[in-house]
Amino acid sequence: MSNEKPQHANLLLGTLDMLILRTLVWGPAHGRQIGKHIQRTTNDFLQMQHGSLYPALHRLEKRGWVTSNWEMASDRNREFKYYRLTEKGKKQLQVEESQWKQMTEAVARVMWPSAEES
Amino acid sequence: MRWWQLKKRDADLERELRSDLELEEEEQREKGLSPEDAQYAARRAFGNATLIREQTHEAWGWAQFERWLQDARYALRQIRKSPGFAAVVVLVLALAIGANAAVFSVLNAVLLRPLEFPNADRLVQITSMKAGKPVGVSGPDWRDFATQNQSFEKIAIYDQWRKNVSTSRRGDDPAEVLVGLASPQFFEALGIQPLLGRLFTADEGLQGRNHVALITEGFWKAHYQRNSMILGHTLTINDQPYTIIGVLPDTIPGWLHGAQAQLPVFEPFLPEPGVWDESARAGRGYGALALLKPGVSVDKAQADLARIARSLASTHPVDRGVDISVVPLETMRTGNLRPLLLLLMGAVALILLIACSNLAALLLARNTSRQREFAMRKALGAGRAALVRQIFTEILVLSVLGSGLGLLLACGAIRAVRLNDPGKIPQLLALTLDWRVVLFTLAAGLGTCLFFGTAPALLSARVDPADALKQGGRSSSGVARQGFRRILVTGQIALSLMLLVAASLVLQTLEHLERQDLGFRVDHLMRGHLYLPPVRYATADAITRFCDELTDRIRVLPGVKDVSVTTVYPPRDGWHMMFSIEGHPVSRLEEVPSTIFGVVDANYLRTAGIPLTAGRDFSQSDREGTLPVGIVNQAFVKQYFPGVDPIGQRIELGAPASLIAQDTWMGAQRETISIAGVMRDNYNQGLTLPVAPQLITLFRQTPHVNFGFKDLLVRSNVAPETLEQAVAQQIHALDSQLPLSEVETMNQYIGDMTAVNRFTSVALTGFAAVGLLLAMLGIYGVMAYLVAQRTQEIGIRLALGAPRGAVAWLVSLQGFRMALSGVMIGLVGSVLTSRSLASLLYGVSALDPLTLLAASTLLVAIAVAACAVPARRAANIDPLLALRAE
Repeated sequence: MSNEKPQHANLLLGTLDMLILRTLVWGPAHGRQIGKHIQRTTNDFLQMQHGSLYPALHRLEKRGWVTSNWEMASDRNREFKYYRLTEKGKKQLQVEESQWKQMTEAVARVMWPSAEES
Repeated sequence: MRWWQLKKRDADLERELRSDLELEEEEQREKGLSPEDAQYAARRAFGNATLIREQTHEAWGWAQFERWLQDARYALRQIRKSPGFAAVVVLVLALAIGANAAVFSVLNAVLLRPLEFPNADRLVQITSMKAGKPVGVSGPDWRDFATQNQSFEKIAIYDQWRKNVSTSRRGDDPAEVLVGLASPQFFEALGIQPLLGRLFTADEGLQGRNHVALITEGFWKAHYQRNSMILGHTLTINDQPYTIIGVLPDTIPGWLHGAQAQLPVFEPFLPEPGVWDESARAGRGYGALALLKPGVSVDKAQADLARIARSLASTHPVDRGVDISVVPLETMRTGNLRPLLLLLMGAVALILLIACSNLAALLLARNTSRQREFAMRKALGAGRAALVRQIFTEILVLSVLGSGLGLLLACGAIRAVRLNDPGKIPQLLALTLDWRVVLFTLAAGLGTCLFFGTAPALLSARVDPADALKQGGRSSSGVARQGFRRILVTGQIALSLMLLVAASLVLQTLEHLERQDLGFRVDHLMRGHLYLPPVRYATADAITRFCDELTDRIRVLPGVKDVSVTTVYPPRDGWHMMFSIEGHPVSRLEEVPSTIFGVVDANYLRTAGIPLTAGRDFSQSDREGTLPVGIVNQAFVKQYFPGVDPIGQRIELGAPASLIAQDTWMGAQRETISIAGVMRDNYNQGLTLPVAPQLITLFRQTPHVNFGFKDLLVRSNVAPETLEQAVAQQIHALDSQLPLSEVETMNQYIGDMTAVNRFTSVALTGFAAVGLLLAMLGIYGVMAYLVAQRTQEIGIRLALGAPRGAVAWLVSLQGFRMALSGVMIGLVGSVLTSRSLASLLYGVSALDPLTLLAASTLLVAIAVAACAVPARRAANIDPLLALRAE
């Protein structure tokens, strides 16, 4: 199962914002780095679709959760558009995290009732 | 959000995507792929860049806007593809919207723009009314109103007189100007602050202290080049020195004074000695302006004044039967223009309606011919909403173009009105294109777009792809669309008829006004105004002597036939005078007869060209000392001497001694006159009111009514305007400081009196012409379309042996039927709206059957003519070709 490409586009879309925000906790990053990081951290379980990533980044920026500016990369002699978490974004991350926790716990309780009770 | 911001962000996104893509490429290369393979791999990993961009735009929330831009670009392409259609639509729109914007700007200037005074909503005009007619207030009345009322913060009294004003200390080179006379409260109520200096103080309204003057900004600029040291300079008014104490802004409109232009000079209200005496209580005719206390309604103020008027009437007999009217200043401004403006607005609204239905028909026809295109788009996946949106966008683009052009047309029209001497309709002086007009035009354009675009857009988008894509597909929904089109044409004809009837009636009114027999000879007559200042012309004798000398000098000028100095001339009235008929005593003041009255010299009737119907003319032997004689008109005889020979009858000027105190102002004017002749009725209350009883006497025989105001009439053999210079020279030769003003020919004078009517008739005729043109286009368009639609059917008929004449007749009949039903509806509409037109008409009824018949016939004829071309085309259809096309 772990080798199969995930088909849960809906799930991914719903949690993409949260994942991006969480990634940015480590520090500013450009789009490619964010995508790579998510992909790598999940052992390629979550394949980053560029078609979702960039619209999501711009959506987050419009909501004021991240800011962006062009900066020179430390390892390459080139400018990238770096995204940075804002205070508002940090709060939003906490909100989404706790919602997500509640959600998974609720789902787990339904799916594996005995395990939960113990 | 602005489009350039969008562009910038789009460039930014592109850069971001490119830089990340390049990074991916680099990483692939570092993994050991060849540069080419690395590029492919990177592209693959990235997916569809355009899609990413579009989805990102969606995130920005601008997708809607972009789609609209796309639609607009598509619309512009469509317009470029059929420039003829676009030109017609834009032109029709521009005409309709331009006409609306122009009329609206008039409405705006006269009705909507707020008055420029701080407390405009509390300003009212107070007028005394006698027998329902406004007569103005008198000095003592005003004083009692001011001290006894509970409703007003301030009440001002004001007037305007023509005076000879010179800016030099010695008083040479004076010009006759309108001088405003205003009590100090006048400026306080209006809330006007002087630009320079101060306003009048309370005691400057008193005799001896009143030689101070305020000038307005325009006068300051014209005569003193805005010199700020002007305070303290001397202005000579009627040979008297006045000290300039302040400069007023040009905000006091002339109409407030019943004048056509702004008044340049103001002096304290004190038109004559004794104006505050009790004897002047009946001397009404002044304006009163008042500022309501905050929170007091007009009705309450009126009731308050009515209470005072009742108590005055109980103590002063001359105040009996006098009512008070309180009118907001806003209402005063509109004056008699309100019905006219509403009529014009109605007319242009009709134009807009006709244009709308025309455009709807045009769009419908065009969109029908584009059905295959729409069907194709639909088949390719465009939803109905997308189609509707796209059709709407096209209409919107056309609307914007049409509105813009319309605004330009309105600008042109306004400039034309302004250049064409708007002073004749004083309210039009304020005519400009301000933001309200622009806003209105935009709203009209958008509203039009929504109105005429909805039905075509919805109907066209109902296209069935399968049906329309079939070769030569004729849609089955055509029947419904044809019905809609017929309704549009019928409506257009109905509206055009209403416009045509209104225009024709107003034109007939103008014709009546300008061509009617006014009872005197209008041609070859010149007039001018003189004012003999009382300082140099103190006695009636001096005035008479000057006038006699002047007429002697002018009479011998080449080209002059007759000359007369007078205080009245037709079609203007003089002042009203009470009199009593010898042997007919009356017991109550209300029964005292009164007449329009004027004093003239012996040449008056000859010069004005008024024939005698009985008795004799004045003669040189009617002099001081002989029994004063008078001439009355036929209306006078009819009213006061029915069935009696008026010649030799005696009347006494002034109110009867038994009814009025001897010492009053009115009581002093008493003189016995013997009627020597009867002149033919001539219009003496303007052009539209019936002839009123009139009496004229010689000023050398009735010295107590011989004031300095004189009009000069010159009857000539040559064109009257060529005499102006020579006449002015003669006046100058007699008195170098006497200006001759208001010089004009009688034709010009009458023309000015009909300025409003001419304005209306020009506007309405223009609108009616536009309406007719639009209706004709509409009928033609629909008939041509119907013929094109029925080509096959007609072809079959012809092939089966139908005569060509019958086919042409069939088509014409269809148009004729539409025209007839349109005319019927239009006639009903005209009858229903006739009442609103009636107040503007003279000499013709709003339901004039001949006019209604002529207009109906004209419209039916136009409709039939518009059908002629399509009918001929139908008759000339080649059956073979038509059938082969099937």
